[in-house]
Amino acid sequence: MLTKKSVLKNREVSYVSAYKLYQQTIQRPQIIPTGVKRIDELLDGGLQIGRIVEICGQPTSAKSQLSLSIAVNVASRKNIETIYVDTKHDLSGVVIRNMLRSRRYTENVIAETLQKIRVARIYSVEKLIELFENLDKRMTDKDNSLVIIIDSLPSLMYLHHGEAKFEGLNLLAESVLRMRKLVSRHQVAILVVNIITCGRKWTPVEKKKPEEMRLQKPSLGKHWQTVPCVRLLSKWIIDSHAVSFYNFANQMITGFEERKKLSYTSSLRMADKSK
Amino acid sequence: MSTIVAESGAQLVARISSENRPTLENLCSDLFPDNGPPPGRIVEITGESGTGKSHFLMEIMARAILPTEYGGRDAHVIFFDLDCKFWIIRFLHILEKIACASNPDSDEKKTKEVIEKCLNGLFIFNCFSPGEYEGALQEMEELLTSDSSIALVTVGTIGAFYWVECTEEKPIKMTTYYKKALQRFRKVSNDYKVVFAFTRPDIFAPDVEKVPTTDADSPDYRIRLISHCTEEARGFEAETDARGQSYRTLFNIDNFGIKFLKL
Repeated sequence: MLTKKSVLKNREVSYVSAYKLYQQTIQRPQIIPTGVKRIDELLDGGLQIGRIVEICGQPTSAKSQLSLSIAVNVASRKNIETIYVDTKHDLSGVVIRNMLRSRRYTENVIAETLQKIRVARIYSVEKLIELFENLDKRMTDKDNSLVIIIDSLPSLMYLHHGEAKFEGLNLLAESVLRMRKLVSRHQVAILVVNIITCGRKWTPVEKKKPEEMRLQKPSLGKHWQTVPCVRLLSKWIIDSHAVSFYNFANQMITGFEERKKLSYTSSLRMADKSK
Repeated sequence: MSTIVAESGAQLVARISSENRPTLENLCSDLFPDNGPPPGRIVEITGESGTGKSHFLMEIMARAILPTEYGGRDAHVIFFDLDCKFWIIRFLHILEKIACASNPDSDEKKTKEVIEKCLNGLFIFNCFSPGEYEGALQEMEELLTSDSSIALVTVGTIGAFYWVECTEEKPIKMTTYYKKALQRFRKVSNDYKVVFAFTRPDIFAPDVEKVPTTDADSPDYRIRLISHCTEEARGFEAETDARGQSYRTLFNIDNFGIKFLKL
């Protein structure tokens, strides 16, 4: 119960001046390049500390491929940690190793990079909230920058489908608050993978796109729609073995003509799916 | 003619501390075509996601905190960042844009100093739970009493905690939630003579738009942002409803914030 007394007693938040925020910001790097050149161009340089980025798209449109590539690229840089939240139990260490081998890294470097990618297998929203909470408690100002990749969020939410009306939404909202707390208090950037579902009502910002685009909307509901600062739409271009990515905020689009360029050697698994 | 108006001790303190607040009138003719906003008004910025609501809010804040000779109002601002869309780097760019446009003769070093100095006048509350927000709102009143330079309070965005507060056991309608928040803003803006500005995604409490802006339960300004982006060109429109008067402006968004297009 919120009473005036309890609020005043537990008051731990206070304001910061924008000057202080600015001082903190200029002391540390604010942009973490994803290492995928065209995606960096789309994102104005890369993932930004303090912001939540979403990749959404239909199944097999290279969302996981891209996020895995980003995880590997980020982990091979110095002073950056990566946490890969695997909610679908389909992340394979062999795939990551093959990706690294295809770049002709020495076995030492490969082992080092593999160690830097921490994988969290999480199968419920409650556990995800717990992870954010623990990170928030443990992280200090001196820690390295951290990139958290969640692949994927809707697969956790589908567990709550058909349940009591508000429970799923409450849990999602709670995890959103934890994400925001983490990114704004620590040196953290978050990348969330989401899927696209078909619906008739949602129209993206530009309304004069082809019909097919109008029919798609990001999953996870209306509340989530306003959460990410940047949303990328990945699209599988049928028959041409290509994937395109589109940024809703600056309306930039980029294409990967050959899947290999994006996904290196691990495109094998995707090729199987599309047959 | 004299009328006796009774006021509480707290209101007296609020009134006395508010006598010398800077005004935001004539803030920017593109943002407020009616030469507003006068003290005590409430401004709502609404629109679909991606139409520049957070940018609009940043633009208003930037124009409030800059010194008068650099295109601002020399005021202090309280900002509740509830959705983490405030981006200090972009905000600095916006400040730089306004300062350079209003005072092109000032040398680069001096402008940078001015910008860094005025950042001290923006107080940011980061809240991550309804309890923290409640605490921050109370601290806001203390701040308003002690600092008579504060002329603007901004909130981004109004429904940030709705889905943790609306539960199965305690359901609350979006419209009711919105009204309660607005009543609270109204009280603070009346008591302390400050301008309140907040953002609202158009999917949150869409029914409230039926209430005209002349109603007390409604904001005094409703700025609706619309996107006209196509594959070839980008463009946005702002429809301002100021107590029944309506205005239209066109703008674009780039790395330096909002750029108004002259018709």
